[in-house]
Amino acid sequence: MASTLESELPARLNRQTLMQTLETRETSRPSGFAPFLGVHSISKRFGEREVLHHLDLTVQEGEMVAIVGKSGCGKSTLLRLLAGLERPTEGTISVDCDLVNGRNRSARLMFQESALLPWSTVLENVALAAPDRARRRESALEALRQVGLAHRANDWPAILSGGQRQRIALARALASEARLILFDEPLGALDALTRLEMQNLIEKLWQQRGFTAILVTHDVEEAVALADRVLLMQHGEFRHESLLSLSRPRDRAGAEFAALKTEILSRVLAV
Amino acid sequence: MSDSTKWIWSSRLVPWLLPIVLIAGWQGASLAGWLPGNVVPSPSNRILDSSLQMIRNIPHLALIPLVIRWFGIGEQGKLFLIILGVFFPIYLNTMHGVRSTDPRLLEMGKVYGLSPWRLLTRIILPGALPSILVGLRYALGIMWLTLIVAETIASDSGIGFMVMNARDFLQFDVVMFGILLYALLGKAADTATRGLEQWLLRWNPNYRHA
Repeated sequence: MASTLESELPARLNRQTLMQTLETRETSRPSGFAPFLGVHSISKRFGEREVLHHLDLTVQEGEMVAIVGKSGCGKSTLLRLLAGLERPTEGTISVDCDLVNGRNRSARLMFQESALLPWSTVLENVALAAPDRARRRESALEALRQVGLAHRANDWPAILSGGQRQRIALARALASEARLILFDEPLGALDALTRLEMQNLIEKLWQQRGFTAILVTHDVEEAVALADRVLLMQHGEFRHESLLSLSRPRDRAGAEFAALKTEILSRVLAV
Repeated sequence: MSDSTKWIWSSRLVPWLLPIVLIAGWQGASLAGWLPGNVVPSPSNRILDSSLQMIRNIPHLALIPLVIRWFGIGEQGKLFLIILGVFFPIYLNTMHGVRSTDPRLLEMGKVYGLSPWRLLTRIILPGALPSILVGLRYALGIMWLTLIVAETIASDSGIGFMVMNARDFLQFDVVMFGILLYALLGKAADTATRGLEQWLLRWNPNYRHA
């Protein structure tokens, strides 16, 4: 498609300049190495049951990390802790070296269901959390344009399809100028074709806007297609980490892609 | 402040109704997570709730003799009975609506850092609105019933008074006319709330062509 080709070039440039500013910021900081998001030995227990067991994780700004694992391994709980919806039983979470206490202000969580307000129009939904009150409408329209749904701004969410609703939820996160977007299987309920479209959209927007993303998924192909790093989670622990150095956009038909996918999938199924 | 509002505030209605409204409002707020429920220690909270439920279960028309004693014959007594009668259907339905707010939407509101005020106006109240409107329609029925009963017994004016008077003089055409008036007024009130419902709930596909 011609439109995607056009938008890729500035996208890469944006990302490059972002990386450069990150590097300069990194060196100007006296502490030297300072990750954007730090998870320090967190555990979470619900009663007797331990869901997360002394997890450590550091994420650099602008990174896309995928977490894969079987259902019930604690992936969603980790995201809820990162969003500040729940508190860890032990351990700490920090953003820019500041401890997160209560809500994580820089994070937005995207759920499997879009959680749009049915009584607000699409535009009002997106404008809900735009930080700049005076420019709420404009920034919401801008975000809608980026997900390609500006023409639906005055519709009710009830008449949109599942994929469109997820795109609006994504626009809402963008309009609120989130630095960290936590995706909790956001594409789980979509059909295969819409899912592919959404994956491309997420990758494109991530390159354009330079937010940090943590993607929880049970779809290994999705993880390999999108992430810089894939973490494998089992029984509340990270068991394996794969760094992906494939060039973007990723060639899903390539041999390297297939090999990585098979390797990670076999690890997921191993235990 | 206009004369009529001044009259309501200075009247004897306020000391009677204010505590009920306050207790119910408190409950609603703590249910919505707007006010922490533990500001009041739980035993006294339970006492508040019990007294509210007791008041709720008194048939309010049973209070007519007392109302005549308290307020005399006139507008105030009618107002008191009607407020008491319509308050509880709306209160119960509002509670139900607030309680059935989609927890995922509330969670989304928290993640996006909405202030308590915006949480209330953007998520909790619109979510409770269908239930509140059901309460409103039900309350309107009670309102007519109460007004008419109160007018027949404790009043010197109004349709109910007119009908009772006509009964005493065997003027059945006037009685029929009064009954017809009730029907028309009831229908008008119902149409108005339905219109309100369709306008306020136009986002909901179930209400679009009701």
